Amino acid sequence: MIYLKQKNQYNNLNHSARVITLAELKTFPPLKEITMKLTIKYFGLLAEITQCNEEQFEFFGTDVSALKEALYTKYILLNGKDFQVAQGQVLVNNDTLINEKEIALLPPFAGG
Amino acid sequence: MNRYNRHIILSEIGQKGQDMLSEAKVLVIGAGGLGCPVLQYLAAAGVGTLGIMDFDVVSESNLQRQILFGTSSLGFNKAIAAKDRLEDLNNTIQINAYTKKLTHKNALALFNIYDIIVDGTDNFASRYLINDASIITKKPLVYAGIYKFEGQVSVFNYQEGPSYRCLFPSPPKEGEVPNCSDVGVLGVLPGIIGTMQANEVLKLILGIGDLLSGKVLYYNALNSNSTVLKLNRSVKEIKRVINSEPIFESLEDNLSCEVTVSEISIIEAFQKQNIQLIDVREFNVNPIIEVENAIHIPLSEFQKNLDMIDAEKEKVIFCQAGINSKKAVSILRDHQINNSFSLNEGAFEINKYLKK
Repeated sequence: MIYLKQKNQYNNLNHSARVITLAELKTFPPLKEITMKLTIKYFGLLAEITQCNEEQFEFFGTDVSALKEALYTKYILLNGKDFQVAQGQVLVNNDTLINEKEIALLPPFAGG
Repeated sequence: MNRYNRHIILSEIGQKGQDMLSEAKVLVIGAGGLGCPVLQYLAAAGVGTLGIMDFDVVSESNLQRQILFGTSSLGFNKAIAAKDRLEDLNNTIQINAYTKKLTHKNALALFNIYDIIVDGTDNFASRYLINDASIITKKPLVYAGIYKFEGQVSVFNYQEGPSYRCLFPSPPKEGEVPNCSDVGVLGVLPGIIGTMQANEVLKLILGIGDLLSGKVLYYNALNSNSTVLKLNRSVKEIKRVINSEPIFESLEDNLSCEVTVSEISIIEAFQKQNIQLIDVREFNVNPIIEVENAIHIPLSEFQKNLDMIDAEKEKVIFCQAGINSKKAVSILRDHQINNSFSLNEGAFEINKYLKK
């Protein structure tokens, strides 16, 4: 989203139809990384690993599996744990694109 | 009938709704922390036929949360003890006690007798078996699971809705997700979650309100937060179960919890010289056991840390309740590491023994 906004910013300069000189290019603001601020909720055993029920997480990436990788890097013990991911309160798959801020990691519970 | 007056005067229920309850047949599998409150409220509500299935006996550590039992039920089969208590609560309903284990062989015929199935079990093998049998017999399943201070509740297989496998397609690895006997549970938690299950059953029978079908509810007793998440039906998962129907009854039950392994008592173990004592509980579990030469490898990381095991020594493995230690011994046996014993007693008894 941030990337698109910046692209529009360039378009507004009305330079889209002609060649941009190197000197001009250097005056443009740099493209920021595509990061999203997510709110991630953890349940059960997962909350014990992360030591929190909820946190703000800066995510640089595209889909659910990239998010999982990022979380495995932050919390090594999450690796290999069984859980499902919900985005905006709907269960999603590994290849679903992250486009909502609210994420939840859901483990199965054995006890009864 | 005066017994159900408070139901009947509700316009949403009335005599018609009460008659629907008395015609309903509900099977509750597992008369434990969840099963007890489910059964108590369904019996009180006048659900006409209740099936109770449990092969286990009542032990003292159950009484902290399994509210149908008292000291007089200790040592008795849970299904029978629950039936005795519920017949006193409501002698106008039919209660069937099943003292056998649920298996692939007996599940389908049993489920066919009932309208609604309730899962109150404490292990994944049973949960997947119950889910699959509910799909095949086309019965709605009121599911719940608990962990320490948290619970999850859902209604599966209701009117083409999703099933447990649409949420979690396959069981987690052995020993990865601990149950109440390993890590403990707040006594009131299964009371809250089981009562939510009873509520779903009543709404299902009466056709009122919104069910937790296509949704899973997570509840946390420590901060009173509940989160409801939407869940979609996975045609692939459901088809796979339906396709297994012709061979379902011949499928093997997952007996991994019951492998026969060499066991040893505390007294025998501490008489031995030169043993390696191995704690396989998860980290941060009480009580902490401090013994010279003891090592700590949680069962979930056991396979990865086999190099910590001393092949030369006799190994005594313990956990909280004597179940995970058996699993650890069978893992060692799978890796041709012999001379290992599962301690009969748990960590609390070891602590007691060491203090003597």
